[in-house]
Parts: sequence; structure tokens; C-alpha cells
Amino acid sequence: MTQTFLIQNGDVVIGATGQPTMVADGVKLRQDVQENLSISVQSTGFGAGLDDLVGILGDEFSLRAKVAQRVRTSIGAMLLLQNQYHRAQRPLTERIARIGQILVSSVGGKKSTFLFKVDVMSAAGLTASTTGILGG
Amino acid sequence: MPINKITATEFEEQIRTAITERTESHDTAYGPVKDIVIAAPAQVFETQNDRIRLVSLLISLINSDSFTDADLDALVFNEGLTRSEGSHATGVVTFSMSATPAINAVVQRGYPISSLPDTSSSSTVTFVTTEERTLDAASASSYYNLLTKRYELQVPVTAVVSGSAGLIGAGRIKRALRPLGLFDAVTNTNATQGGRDRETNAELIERYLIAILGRELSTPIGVEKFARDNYPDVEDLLTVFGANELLIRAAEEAGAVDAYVIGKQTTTQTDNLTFFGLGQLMAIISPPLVSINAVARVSPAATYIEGTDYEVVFDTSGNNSSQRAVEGIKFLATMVSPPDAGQIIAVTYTYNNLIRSLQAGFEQDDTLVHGRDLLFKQGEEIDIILEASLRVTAGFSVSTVTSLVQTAVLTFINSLELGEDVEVSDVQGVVRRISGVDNFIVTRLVRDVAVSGTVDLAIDDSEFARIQSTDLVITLI
Repeated sequence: MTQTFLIQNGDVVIGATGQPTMVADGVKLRQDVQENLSISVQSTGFGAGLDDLVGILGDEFSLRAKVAQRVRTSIGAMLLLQNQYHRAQRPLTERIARIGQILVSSVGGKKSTFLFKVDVMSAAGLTASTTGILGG
Repeated sequence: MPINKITATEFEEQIRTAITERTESHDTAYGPVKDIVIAAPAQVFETQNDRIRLVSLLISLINSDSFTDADLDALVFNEGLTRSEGSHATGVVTFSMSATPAINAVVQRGYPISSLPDTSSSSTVTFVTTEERTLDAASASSYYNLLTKRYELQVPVTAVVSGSAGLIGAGRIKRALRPLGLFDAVTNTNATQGGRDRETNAELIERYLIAILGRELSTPIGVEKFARDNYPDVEDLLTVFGANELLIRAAEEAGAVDAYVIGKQTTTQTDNLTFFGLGQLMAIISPPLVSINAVARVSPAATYIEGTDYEVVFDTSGNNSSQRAVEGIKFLATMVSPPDAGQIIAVTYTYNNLIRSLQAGFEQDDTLVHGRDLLFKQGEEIDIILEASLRVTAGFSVSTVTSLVQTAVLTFINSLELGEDVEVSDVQGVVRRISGVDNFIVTRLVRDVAVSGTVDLAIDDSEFARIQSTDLVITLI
């Protein structure tokens, strides 16, 4: 089983024993997907880099497609990393099987604000859903 | 040791491997473990690696443009060098007037003149006079220039700024920055000269290396350093010079300096030498001689025996033990069946090639020191005989303590360098450090098998003491 630090409000959670609280399985998958969607693109391909799209004006459908494409690419990179590292230890509940759906919709009349929802299906058949607003 | 560049990514891999070796369950591919524990330190390590690399480059003086002037200045100061800040260009300007002077015309020291604006950069360079000069009205004719038809006074100037910026062409320093007084013009007939720029890192490094090389080759320590750096067989080297009584060739050979060496590269060689007669030296071709291995007549074949047919002759002159030594064998007048004059004698011998290599190495264009006749000589090994009585403290193994004492004494004496005396107190000091030694009494310490005594042995600068295990006799009491 793989595990990592539990992150809440952008910081490591320290438990009663003074040690970082660890997470695994589906909780970890959801936390990792959230990070993936919220950071810039890393050298490994991890990170969607959605921040780059904030404030861009243009064709609404084109922007929605761009958001969807970046999300899909970053999840794909995450899947590659899962295969590259800790493959034997990674449980089915954390292993990415496929992307369930990516929904990107405009918010009100704002042309540069998008609501997106990403469902990632684990190999165990569980769904890790993440939603976010791009823009403001 | 060169320090290679290690990137943050490479450090990440190393940290990832280290974490995984501890536990495979921490996800190091992505997530907070990677962000906090791996990526952040890796960035710091890369920065530190860059700094260490800089020190490495500085020490090895590679890529002189990659380190700061201050870093290099600090390094070269170890050799007493400081960076040249450059020099000011100098020249001569001519103050002139067309009218005959009625009174003395004086140019004060520090009078400023500027060059005309540079055609490309529009910059000007200011010069000041470095001396006060006077055009003497009473002898004005002597200042008159028939070509220009003007009274002229030449005054030396120096540029206010240092470096090559002060190099100005002829006829361009002509803007007086103060009233000219009685003169009505000023100019420079010739271009200014000098004006060297601040020393660059590359120039300073070159001077630093020259400083080191220069020191190495002209001082006793320098000779030893260079020899030991470049000839790994040299165990010790000691130069004798000046009024040292060992330098017996000093009277005949100017600049004589002898360098005694501990170290050997023994090489065997056979010389075919012509026999001229009994009692005549047959000198080998490649001294210094270590030993004669065989002497034989080529045709008709005959073998000769040392002591019966010939004797080995070593050079005892000031060139002894060097490649200038004249040494070899002499056939004894008492020998039976001597060779005929003109017959070829094959002399097989061993010589110390290290001495010859050193001699050749110090006579290259880049190692030769003018005015010094440096001659390398093999140091003379002095075989010591040491006898002592040993009492071992009760409870200790006699054989173990005896063995430790033997080893300690052999190691101590056989590591003495050229000119180091063998003193009883030093031997005692070595032995007394061994646990289990109750008493140690030196009963004989000599360098000659025929004598007895326990006085300290004086070793000349040309000698070094050694002892064979068979010459160390320890008697238990």
C-alpha cells in the first residue's frame, strides 16, 4: 500500500503523536487528483497547468476544449507515474483505471470562468470526483 | 577531485531512492512527499552543488570566467600575489605659442588637458601634466620650432583614468581645460603609451602559475617538491649548497648544488668495453653504479671473478654517485690469464636510473635554472647495527612484546630521512611507547661492524640510516 501526507487547507496535517497524518487508497487518489488539477505542469507531466488559462478570453467552446484536454493529459501523466513508481505497492483503490468524465461548463455570463468536474475511476471501481472553478 | 554538476532532478532521484530503500509505501512519484521531502531539498542541494563546483573550479583554475574576481584574488593571495589594477597611459604634450614670449611661460604640474571626443563613442579622456615646466623667455629661441614656426614647450602627461582607455592617438589631446595663459595651443605629437587594463582572471592565473613554478625550481624546497611531484620513486631529497663541506666540487664548478636522493630505479645493462691493460679503469656507460653483476670476455669466452680477477671502482670525486661519476672495474695486476689488450669485455651491471632521470628532468628548457649546476646523487645508505637488552613486564607475552619492539625499531630507523642522526633517546622513545616493555637497554649502536659503543650516530646530509632485521639483535633479560 502506498501512502502520503494528508493535506488540508494546503498544509500537512500533524496528528496527536506529532507525526504527519498519512492517507491511502481512495482518499489519497482524490487528494492526488486535486493536486494534479491545481498545479502547473511539472517536468514529469504531472499537473494540469489550468492556471495558465485564467483570464484568457476567446471562443467559449475552444476554451472548454482546452481545459478538458489539459485535464486529460495531466491525468494520463499521473497514470504513467503510477505505473513507473510503486507499481507493486499501489492498491487497486488508488490505481487509476480510466477517466470517468470531464465536465466543463461556463458560469453565468462570464466568458472566462468555467466550472469543471472530473471523475477518475480507480481499478477497484470507485470514483474519485473533483470539482473546481477556473477563473472568478 | 573534480565536482560534477548534479541537477535538482538528479538529486530528486537520489532522495527518492533513499526514501524507497527505507520504505516503499511512501509515494515518491507525486504528491506532498515529493513536493516537501524530495523536490525542495533537491533544489537546495543543486544550489549547494553549484557552490561547491565553484570552489572546485577555483582550486583547479578551470573556466576562469566562472568565478568572481574576489574569489580568485583570495586564492592567489596565498602565493602573495595581488591583482594589478592596471596602469595609466602616459605621453608628452606640446604647449606652443606663435608670438615671442616676453616673460617666462609656465605650465603648472597638474594642468588638465582633454582629448577630442572619440568619433564613435564621443567620450573624452583627461590628462594632467606630471611636472612643472617653464619656457624661459631669455632663451626663447631654443624653444623655437622651425617646422611649425612656433615656440614649443614639451610637458609629460598622464591619463586620469587607468587602462587602455588612455591610449590616444597623436594630435588628439588638444583641449585645454584651463586658460592657456601665454600659450595659445596644446597638442600631443605622438600617441600615448602604456595604459594597461586591469588584470583579467586569465592573466592573473597565468602569473600565479608562473609564481609557483618559479619557486619550485630555484629553491631547495622547490627542487624537492618538483622531484617528489614528478618522480614517485623519490622518497627523500636533500640539497647541499654554499659552504656545505659535502660540496667538494664547489671549488671547481661554479654554481654547484648537489641533490642527494633516497630512491632507486635499478636497471641492468651490459656494456661491451675494450680492455686496455691491468689496473686501468674500465668505466661503465651509465653511472651511477649500484653493483657489478658479471664480467666476461666476449671472445674467446671467459668469466672473471670479483676480488680474484677484478675490483669494483666507485667514483670518489665530487661527481660521485651521480651520472657524471667515472666508475666501473679494474682488472687486478695479480690476476691469472688476463685478457689481451683490445679484447672486448662484457660488463653487466646495475645502475640507478632514477638519478639519471632526475638529472635529465631538471635540465629541460622549462626546468633549468640558469647559473646553477644542479647534480643529483644517490644518497649513501648507512647500515646500522643495533643490539639491546629487553625486559618484558610480567603478565605480557614475551614473544608479542619482542616482536612489537623489533617492528617498531625497524620501522623507525628505516623511515629516517637524509641527514637524520640515529639517536639512542629516539630509539628509546619509540620502544617505550609499547605496552609491556619494562626495560630496554641499548648495548650497541654502531655503523661499523668492527666497532662497539652506544653513542648517537651522526649521519651526513648525503647519508641515510637503514637497518636490516638481522642487524637488530634483541636479548631478553
